[in-house]
Amino acid sequence: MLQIIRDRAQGIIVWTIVGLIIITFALFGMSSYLSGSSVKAIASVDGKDISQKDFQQAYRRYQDRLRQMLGASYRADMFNPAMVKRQVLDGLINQRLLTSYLDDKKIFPADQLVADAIQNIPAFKNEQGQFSKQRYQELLSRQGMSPAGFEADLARDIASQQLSTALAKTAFVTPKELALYQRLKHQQRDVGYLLLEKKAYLSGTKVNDADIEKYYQAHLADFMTQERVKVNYVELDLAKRADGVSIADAKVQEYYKANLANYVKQAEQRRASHILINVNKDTDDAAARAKLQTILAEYKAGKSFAALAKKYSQDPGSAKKGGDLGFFDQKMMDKAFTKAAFSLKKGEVSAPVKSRFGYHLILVTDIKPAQYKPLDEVKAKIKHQLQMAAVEQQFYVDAEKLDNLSYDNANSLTSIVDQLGLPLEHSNFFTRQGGQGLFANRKIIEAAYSDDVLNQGHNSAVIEISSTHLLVLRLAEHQLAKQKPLSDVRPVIVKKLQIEAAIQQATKDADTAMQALRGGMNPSTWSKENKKGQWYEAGFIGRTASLDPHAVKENKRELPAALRRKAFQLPQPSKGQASIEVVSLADGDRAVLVLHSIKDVEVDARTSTQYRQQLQSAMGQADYNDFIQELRAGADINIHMENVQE
Amino acid sequence: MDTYRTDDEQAEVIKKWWLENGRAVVTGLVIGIAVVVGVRYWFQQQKDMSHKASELYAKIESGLASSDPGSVLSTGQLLLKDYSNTTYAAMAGLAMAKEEVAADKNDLAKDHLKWVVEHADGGLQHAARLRLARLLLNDGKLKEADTLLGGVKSAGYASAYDELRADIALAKGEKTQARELYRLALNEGRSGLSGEFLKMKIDNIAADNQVTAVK
Repeated sequence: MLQIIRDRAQGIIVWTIVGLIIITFALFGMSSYLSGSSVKAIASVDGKDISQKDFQQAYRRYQDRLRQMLGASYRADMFNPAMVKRQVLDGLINQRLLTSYLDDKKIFPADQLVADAIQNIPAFKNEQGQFSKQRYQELLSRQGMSPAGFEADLARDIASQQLSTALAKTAFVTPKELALYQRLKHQQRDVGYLLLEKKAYLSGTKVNDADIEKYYQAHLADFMTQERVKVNYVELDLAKRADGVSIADAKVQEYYKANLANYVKQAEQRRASHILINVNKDTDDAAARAKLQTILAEYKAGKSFAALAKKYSQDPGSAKKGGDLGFFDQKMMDKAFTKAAFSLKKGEVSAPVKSRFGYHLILVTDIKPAQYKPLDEVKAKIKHQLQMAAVEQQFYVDAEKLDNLSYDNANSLTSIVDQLGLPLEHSNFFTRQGGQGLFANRKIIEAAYSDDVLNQGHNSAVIEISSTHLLVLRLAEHQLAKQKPLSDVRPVIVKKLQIEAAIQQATKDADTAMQALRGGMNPSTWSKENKKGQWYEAGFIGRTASLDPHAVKENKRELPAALRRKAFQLPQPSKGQASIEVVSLADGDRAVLVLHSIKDVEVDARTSTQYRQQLQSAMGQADYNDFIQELRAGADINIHMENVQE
Repeated sequence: MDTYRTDDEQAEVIKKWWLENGRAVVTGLVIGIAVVVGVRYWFQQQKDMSHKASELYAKIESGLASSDPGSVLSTGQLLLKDYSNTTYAAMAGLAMAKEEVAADKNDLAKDHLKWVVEHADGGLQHAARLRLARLLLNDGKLKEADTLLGGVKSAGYASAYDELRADIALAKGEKTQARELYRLALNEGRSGLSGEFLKMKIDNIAADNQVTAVK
């Protein structure tokens, strides 16, 4: 038997096996090339890739969370996408590092803990608030997850929660640390300051021409005019053109009369009485009509309509009132009825009229004629309508001509002016940001600065400001951005230099005052003797306004923030001494800050407990963050943000 | 070569080979299987250990959350005794130290932190070492604190180490060095309340180069 195998071995079997091996290797080799080249990984952590898919999934989750948190106020462009993406990626990297740390350190929560956690997830509970295994499996399969996979994920979450607790929730603050924090936080400092305001120096400063020239030369770029153009244009404006048409009053009146129906204030109303005979299964059409004929005969014989209505009418509402229906206009009644009622004269009785109720005899008892808006009220409107009508047709003819002329004679507006009788108008200068009136219109600005108009010197195409307002323009004058002459900008420079000089002088004085004060001079005295500045005694202040010991009285001035900050950065003066320093304030003012003394304040027990808890949780959080940073520092992380696909 | 042997001859050769090497082959197989089984058993043991430790640690977690130091400490003892090889033991050590400091038992806290420093590595070790040194500083044991921090380097905890070294330097009266170290700590990145504290510490030891004058 062995012999047989060996004989064949040189044949088919060997080659089959070798072939299989080759194919296997070839395939494996290929697949890794394929995956490597098509989609590049965003990052790798210790040799393991964070794929495009992982990243996009996390990014979407992050956005969903934001949307949920912010609700209606969410906008996609609220956050800098590059920053958010980096943040998401950092989160992913940290998660990877944490996972491998947990595996490495065998932080594995027991199955029981995982089971407990699952049973506490509200989504898996039934109506009675109890864990439902069916619900659990349903929900998971709907999300495309297997229970084993979900449980493994959950186990990892629990493990990282445990690790975070181990650092973030176990920090303590030593008694000395807490004491120091409280002492520094609540420290009060007794300060005063000599304020040297910039504005006090402005009038006294002189600026010489050489300095102005020097400043101008050094800031040439700041003193450029903007590029601007002037254009000539013709405007075809239906409304404007209509304004010029004169319409005789007689024409207006004529139109008013002819179209009186358009100016009804109150429609005609009529009052009528009627006698109704219904048409139904008992009384047919002919019978009803015959019945009314006999009633009509009675009326003509001299019976009163009201009495007949009371006697015969089958409209119970009106019959009681002698058939009276009150006033009505043409919109309120049956159509046939209305037609008959509005064609009768007052006091006239109709022949039988058929409506959808049956047959009526109608007596018109009163007529209130229609009321119309007086001519004066509608005159202007009619005039405008007539004016527009007079020019409308011509406008569209001209509009077409305008289009052709501006294109055919692209090098001049003259033919348009001549043939259409439009005035040639001239704009003022306007920049690419636009100018006044018409020239603030974006379409006009764009046309004026288009290559065709600006560089080629052609007419613009017809600009449609609205469908009845057209304009063609061409360049009249083009000024490139250029240097403003010194004479133009002199006042601006003078002002700037004055301010600079004022600040410089204030700074110089502040230095002088500081030296004097350090030498032991009383600040008020310095101020009086030099006739400069104003001394404010602020008294004891806290690190922030909310920590001030009392409403700080300082001649009703609010303590500038820079002074408060500096007050807590000056060295502690020894007894009988003061710390003195110049402080630059935000608006160019200068101050000489004097720190007289420092006072420590006792903190009550409640505040103290609060501080301890705050510090503990801050320190714990910091420890955990540092822990993550330590993991990152120990890992081989490569980030390729450029591979992120949009 | 043996290309021309018959089947019988071949069988004979195999038998002979087996007589000579059979024992070795069987022994090898047995040892191999034993190793595989052993390793698997060991891994399972480890996993079981972790699982049991994790349940105890869960108790510590709820003890921390509900401010029940008794439960934290007694459960911690169990973890340190029976599961000292697990990471959970080190995590428990940190929790115990917190409760002990709160109960004004700094010496016990120091022992537990020391235990964590000796048994853990990486971030947990750094955290424990920093906390231990802060307790030593609080208790005035500057030299011990100094020795403990020694030349320890860490990328993640750099700022915390420098701040603590500055605290120690200041306690020793070395203001200039403290100032330098505080600045370093601030530059290494700090935010929130612990950043505010750090800045206050810096302001508190401002250099007095000619700023002070006699009134």
